[in-house]
Amino acid sequence: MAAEAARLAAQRLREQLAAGQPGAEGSATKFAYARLNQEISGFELEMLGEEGLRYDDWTMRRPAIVDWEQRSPGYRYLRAKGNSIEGGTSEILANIIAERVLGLPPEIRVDVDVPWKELPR
Amino acid sequence: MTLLYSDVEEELRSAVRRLLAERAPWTAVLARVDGDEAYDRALWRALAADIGCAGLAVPEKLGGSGASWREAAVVAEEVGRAVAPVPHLGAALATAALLAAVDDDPDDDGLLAAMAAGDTTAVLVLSLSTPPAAPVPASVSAVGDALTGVVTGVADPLAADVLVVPTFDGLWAVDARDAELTPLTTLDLTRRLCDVAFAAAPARRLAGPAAVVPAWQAALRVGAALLAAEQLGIASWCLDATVAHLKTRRQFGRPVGSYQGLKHRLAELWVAVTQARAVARYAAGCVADDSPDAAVAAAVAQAHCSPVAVRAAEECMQMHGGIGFTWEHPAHLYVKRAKSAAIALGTAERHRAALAALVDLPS
Repeated sequence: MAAEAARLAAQRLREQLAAGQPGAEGSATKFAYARLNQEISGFELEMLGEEGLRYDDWTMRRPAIVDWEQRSPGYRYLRAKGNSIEGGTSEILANIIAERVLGLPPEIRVDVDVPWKELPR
Repeated sequence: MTLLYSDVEEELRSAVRRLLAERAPWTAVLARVDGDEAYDRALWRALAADIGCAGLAVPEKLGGSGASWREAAVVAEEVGRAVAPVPHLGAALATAALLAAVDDDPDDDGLLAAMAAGDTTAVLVLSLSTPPAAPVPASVSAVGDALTGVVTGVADPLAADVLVVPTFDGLWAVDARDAELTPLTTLDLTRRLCDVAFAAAPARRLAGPAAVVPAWQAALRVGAALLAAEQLGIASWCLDATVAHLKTRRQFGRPVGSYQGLKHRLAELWVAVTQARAVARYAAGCVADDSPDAAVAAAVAQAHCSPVAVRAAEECMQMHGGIGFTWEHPAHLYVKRAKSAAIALGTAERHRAALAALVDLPS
């Protein structure tokens, strides 16, 4: 059900983009898919039981593509962990939705008028 | 029954934590994951024999130290905290099975005493994913004093001297060299699994047919309680590491931990870990006392602690951001161990189903 809602939302986003109406739904789509991928791949491992304890191949390599379907359920579970970090974390996306879409007041910023090199890190 | 830790347990914890911090820091665990020798035998010897962890639950007259599974659970917490490469769970399962089978009358050629002293490592031949209330598997059978058959996905046999094998005919001891071990490629590289095959392997009968079912059930129950303690340890480490990171890591000129979005998630995680500690302690206490509530307590502990450990490890990875997703940061060791532990001895779902039957909910 959650997967179907996310799929239809993504389809609607594509129609919007085709119509020249980009919106913050892009953030919503990535946010939703990160969570969905993590939940489904985590559930897959637990549902499999013994097979879920295994892994296909730990050889280090730089894949040309993310081989989502050919690899094992364990790979899908671990790879999905990156979905909420890469290309804008889910936390940053939630801020974008809250502040730019809903118009909620932003976090109080202490770094706006401070040169980056002078910020405490 | 107290749910607090005794002074003796705190001393035991300190000793184990000190040893693991010195001999199994996460960098050493990671190096072993990349290497050929999965287990640190010297470390296991120090833990099992020198500190005496292997014999905690074994009565003194059977060669142990006469403590209980409560103390053993404290050790399991620390093993979880360190994701230590030791066969703690496999050995505890074998000990639980043997203790239930021999009762007060050991007819085992001193195997239990050797295990309790840490001189011999025995591991129970049981598929790690075995759910609660599963029957004794029929995949290994005895002809005379020889065993034939296969059990898949067994935890820790690579570290074993002796394999303890339950069949319909009894509980058997097989020299690990007489079994064929096929190591599996596993999600969690800190607890290795093997397929274990016997081809007319010479075996010694430790107990007869009447003892098998009680031994099997005791192993599953004690295993569930100890695994819950291990999951508590995993969750505690992940929470502590994440809190420490969020206090020091700054973004937009502020400590990351000052943002409510993250702060509240960690506060909720702390609440869940607090509850995990209580249910894990109760389960350990129940199996230690052989309480009538032990089966319920073990099911509650697994149903609660499995998802808490997974959530803590996943939040640890997420809140560390990019660095948390790299091989060079320990978060992945905990995510893999937590997820595998959630499947081990039955998922939370299976334990909820077992719990429903135990408390007479209509099926």
